[in-house]
Amino acid sequence: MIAYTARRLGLSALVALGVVVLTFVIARLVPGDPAAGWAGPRASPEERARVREELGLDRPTHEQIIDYVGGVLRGDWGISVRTHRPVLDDLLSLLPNTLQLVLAGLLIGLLVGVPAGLLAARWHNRLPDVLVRSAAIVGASMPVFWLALLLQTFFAGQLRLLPVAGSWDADMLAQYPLAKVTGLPLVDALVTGNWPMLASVFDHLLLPALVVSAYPVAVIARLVRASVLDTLGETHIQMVRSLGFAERAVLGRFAVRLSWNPVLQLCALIFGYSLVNSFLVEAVFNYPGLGRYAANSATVLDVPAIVGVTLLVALLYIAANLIVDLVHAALDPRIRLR
Amino acid sequence: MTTNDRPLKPGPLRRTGAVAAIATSLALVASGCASGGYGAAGADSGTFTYLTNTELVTEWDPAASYSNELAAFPNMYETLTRYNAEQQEVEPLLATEWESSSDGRTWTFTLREGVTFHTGKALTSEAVKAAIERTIEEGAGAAYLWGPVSSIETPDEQTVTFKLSRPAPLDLISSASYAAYIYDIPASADDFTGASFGTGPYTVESWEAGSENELTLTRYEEYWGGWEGDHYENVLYRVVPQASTAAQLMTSGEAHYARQLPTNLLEPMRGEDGLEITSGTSWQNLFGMMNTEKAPLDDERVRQAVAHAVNYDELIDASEGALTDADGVIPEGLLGHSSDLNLRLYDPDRAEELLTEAGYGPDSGEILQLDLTYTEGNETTATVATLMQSQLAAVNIELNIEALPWDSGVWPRGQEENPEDRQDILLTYWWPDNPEPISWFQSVFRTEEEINMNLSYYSNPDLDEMIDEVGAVTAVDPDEAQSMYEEMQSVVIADAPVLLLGDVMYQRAISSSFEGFVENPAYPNVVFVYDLQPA
Repeated sequence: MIAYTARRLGLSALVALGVVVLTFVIARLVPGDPAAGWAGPRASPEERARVREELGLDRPTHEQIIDYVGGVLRGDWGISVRTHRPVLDDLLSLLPNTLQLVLAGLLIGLLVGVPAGLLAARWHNRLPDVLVRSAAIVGASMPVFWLALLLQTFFAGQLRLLPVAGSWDADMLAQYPLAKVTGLPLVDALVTGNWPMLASVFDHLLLPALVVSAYPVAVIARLVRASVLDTLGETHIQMVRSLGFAERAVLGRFAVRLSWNPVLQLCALIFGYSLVNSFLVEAVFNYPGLGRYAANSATVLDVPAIVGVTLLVALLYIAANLIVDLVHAALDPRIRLR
Repeated sequence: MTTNDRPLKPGPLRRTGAVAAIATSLALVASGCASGGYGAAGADSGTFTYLTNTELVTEWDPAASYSNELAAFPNMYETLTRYNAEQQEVEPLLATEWESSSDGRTWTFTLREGVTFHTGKALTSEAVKAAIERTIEEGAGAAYLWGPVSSIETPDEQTVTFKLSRPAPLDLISSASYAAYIYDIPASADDFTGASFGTGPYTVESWEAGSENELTLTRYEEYWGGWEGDHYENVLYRVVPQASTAAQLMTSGEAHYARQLPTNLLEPMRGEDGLEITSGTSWQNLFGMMNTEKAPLDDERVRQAVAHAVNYDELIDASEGALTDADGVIPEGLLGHSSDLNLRLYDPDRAEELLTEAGYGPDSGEILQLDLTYTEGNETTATVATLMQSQLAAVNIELNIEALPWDSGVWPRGQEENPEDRQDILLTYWWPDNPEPISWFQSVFRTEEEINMNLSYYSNPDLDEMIDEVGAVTAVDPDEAQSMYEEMQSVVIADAPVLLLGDVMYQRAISSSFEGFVENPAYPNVVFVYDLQPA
């Protein structure tokens, strides 16, 4: 198990390094002058030359990459050309919001997707199955920004039940300041018993989380349905049936168990997909996460920030997969030998 | 994923766990909705909410501030004087009176009494002197405006005297939107960050960089204007880059003012309850800067031909209210503006004549290829560029248009060493840093040793001479300055280094829940929140 973990960690580090180098080179190949962005739209040529030297932009690309990788290892992810703040500080202040959104989407995905998949398998080829399958196709294929606009216009714009955008009410923050425990606003408000803030964060999170959950709900429902249907024909299920267990127990207790592994693996994939998918959702709901930051950085060619976001997303993705693989390996010894 | 079509035994209909789970999640959704109730309520809570599409504060030092934070700074920091663009005159602010000597080289300002900085310190002539001297010394942003000042004297607590090395309109300079703030100086420049050292009606309550609720201001109890009557208690600057989201926030009543919304979103909002769509002139104009160092536009006749080939009315119509006719280089509300200049008008026949004279035109059989660049992300510029393409095609000019980021595309290309590598036409906006029209001439039309903002690469020594004189003339004889500016504009129109495509109109959605909003083009996108009366 230790050897397996070590091997996986080593491979992950290699992937991360590859991501850094690739992003760095691509960002450098795009024509442009980040120094001009730093110095401002009306800066003089001398000012820009000074900034270029200060930021090390006048040095060859390979030296810059080596410097950057060294810095990343020391926790120095460079200074953002746009915000003039350390990139890592920027990212860490926004990451909890994005994580909260993605995890909420994943949670809804499991809470709705697994039962929906079971329902479809139980009434295979009947109305519930048709409904679940149709909804899954819509959920998986509808562009998120479109779904986001629809929900925003309907629930916030027309019905005015939920806020249009943002992550909490600004008025609220002064009155009920949010203590930092885990960094996830929803969890922090909950554990500190800050009920008004909890309500505000929840209201603001609901619509974006529902939009982000559309894809997880759809794919989880389809996977659970397919895997349960697959299992139902197997001999051990027929055995269980012949022992006189109710159909509910056959499905809910025995058949579904075999789908946990694929669902777990799917969750890691969904996590990575949702991270990037949430970028568009964040834009529509003006949700202060990594996505908004990435978009703003890209428009001004803020190389340290772009590379930083890419690296962070890659690391999260790698970490999610690593965790799933390790859990998997711990549960199923066959994996370790592969 | 595979599906399996093996038949399933139908079981008894029972409430399964799955149904329960779905019901639970639906209940969760419903409860979330019920606890809401969003809308107009938030708008009347004593907080004025300003929506901006870009992050607000990048520079906290009032000496160096030269960017978007302008939208917030005048609510925290005040200047000696303020320019009223409607009346075209300078009004008192921290100075109650001022006078200049007849040679325009000595200016004396009398300070308002009973003013304190947010630090508690009183506003004295010494403090004013210290602030302006620091701004000059830092030399950042628009500090160049104070260039003519050679020394500042403080004969008594309430009097500040400026000695100038050359005559200059110091009352206009002290009204500038940048670099003219009077502030208390903290121990370290880092202290400016997230705090206010001004004398204005509001101070910083909280600042969270990168957050959507970036900046909150709250009223300064000791403000010299007092808090009698109706005023907003707080100001919230909310960063909303997505235009459709900003529009939703305006219609749902969660915000009071949207800095910028595209026309296609503004139109449907017209006539909505609780909203007003305002339109006001700005001091920003759209130029097509022509490369005077590269064939064929190095030929004056070709430039003039292009200026006659553009159908300006069509551009203005297509902009759907975002642009209005330009009267010249200097927009309305500024010294030097004139509506009697001999502009080049749309005249395709004249354009063809000029092109034929220069050896081009429809009969030459040769198609002129011109590259046009502009900064991406602005709907109006994109519309103008596309229309110009079809308009110029009529006189046998093929326009290749390219939308690029300013910092990394448009500007670097415009500064290429070899004129052949630069664009032929560059669309860009210009606006002044203080209520003086010299900015256009100094920055855009004066000969440059090294390319900066004169992206026509235009050089006319006679004009340069006038530019160098006009500042001093403005200080002592505004009427003479007016006719000089008119002449300077005529020179620019004759030489045609730029296409005067139109003046920008500010189109805004504002809430009708308050009164007293005045668009002041001298302070673009600024809402002086203290002057508003919440309903």
